[in-house]
Amino acid sequence: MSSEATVLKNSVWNGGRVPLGVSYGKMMMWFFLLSDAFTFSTLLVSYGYFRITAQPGWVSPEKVFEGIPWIEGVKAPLVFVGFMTFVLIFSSVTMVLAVEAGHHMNQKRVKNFMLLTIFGGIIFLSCQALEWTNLIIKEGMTMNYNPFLAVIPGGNPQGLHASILFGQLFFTITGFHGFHVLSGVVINIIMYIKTGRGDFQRRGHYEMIEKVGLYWHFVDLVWVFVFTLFYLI
Amino acid sequence: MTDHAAQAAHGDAEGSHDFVIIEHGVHHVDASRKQIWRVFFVMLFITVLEFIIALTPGIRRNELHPTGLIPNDVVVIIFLGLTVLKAFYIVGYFMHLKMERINMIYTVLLPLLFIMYLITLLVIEGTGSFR
Repeated sequence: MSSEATVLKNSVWNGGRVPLGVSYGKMMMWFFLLSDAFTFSTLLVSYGYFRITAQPGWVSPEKVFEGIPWIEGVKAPLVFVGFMTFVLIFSSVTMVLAVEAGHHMNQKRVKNFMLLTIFGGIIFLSCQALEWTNLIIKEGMTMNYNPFLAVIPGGNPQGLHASILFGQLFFTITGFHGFHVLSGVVINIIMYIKTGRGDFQRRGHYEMIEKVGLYWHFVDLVWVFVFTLFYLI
Repeated sequence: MTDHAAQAAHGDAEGSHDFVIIEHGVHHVDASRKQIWRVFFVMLFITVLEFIIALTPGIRRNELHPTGLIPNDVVVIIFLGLTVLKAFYIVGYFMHLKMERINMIYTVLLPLLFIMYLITLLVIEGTGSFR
């Protein structure tokens, strides 16, 4: 009887301690990110569904993404988007370094790394704006027209539908992701200002930076999948 | 790794009204910064590898390059595997999930089974709706 009571008392779920080992705010950020992961997965899975359906008439990404904005006549597939990927991964690293500096209550380092992260996000957004402008104005790929038809032996009867779907899915998914990056940049700027005012120093911990960091890494995580599914495969 | 285990144990012993103790306990500056850069270079290496596979002529066999070495399906599976590996590094190390308590890890990862289920269903369904 008494041993049973001891077991119950020592159980993590028996009250008096935090079962998940994280604070309320961080746990809720994880739950929000989980719901956001579901949203993105429905978009990406529907992309995969249409792509499998339209095989082999799908647009070849090598053809769509072979230009570099500003540079005429160069065929260098994936170079521009490779740069964007690098920028986003690097801004994730500066975010982790900001969180790490927050653990040491180093206000100046947190501020500097947050600023670098914000710059990374702004560079990424600018690149995406350039890429979209290039695709829409120069190449003429919009939500209801796509100049890149897949050329396959024996004709491509479903090609028109497939290529228009490609444009729609591309602009929807990268647009939704870009909007997440934009919100991330705005939130990062708010946190940068709050860090500068010494709010977290007074509070005694930099947990807000950790929560914002979780969101920022999630944006990076989604980009890893978007990059593979749209540009590589 | 042992540091984190010790930290968690420390947090348990403290009781946990003050979880800040768990989160902001002992940290080793050099070790964790070194690990951050190590993860960055691993991810950079994976990305470069993906570029090499995607851009080197003669590796991939598809409609544009019929003489490639590896069939397209295999290349796609390699790309997806590398992507999941990168996702593991982001979620595990950058988002710190690997060092959280096992309850937290299950809370986040188990719901993703629904996404796996959705992918499975739509891959099965996705053959032939234009036909």
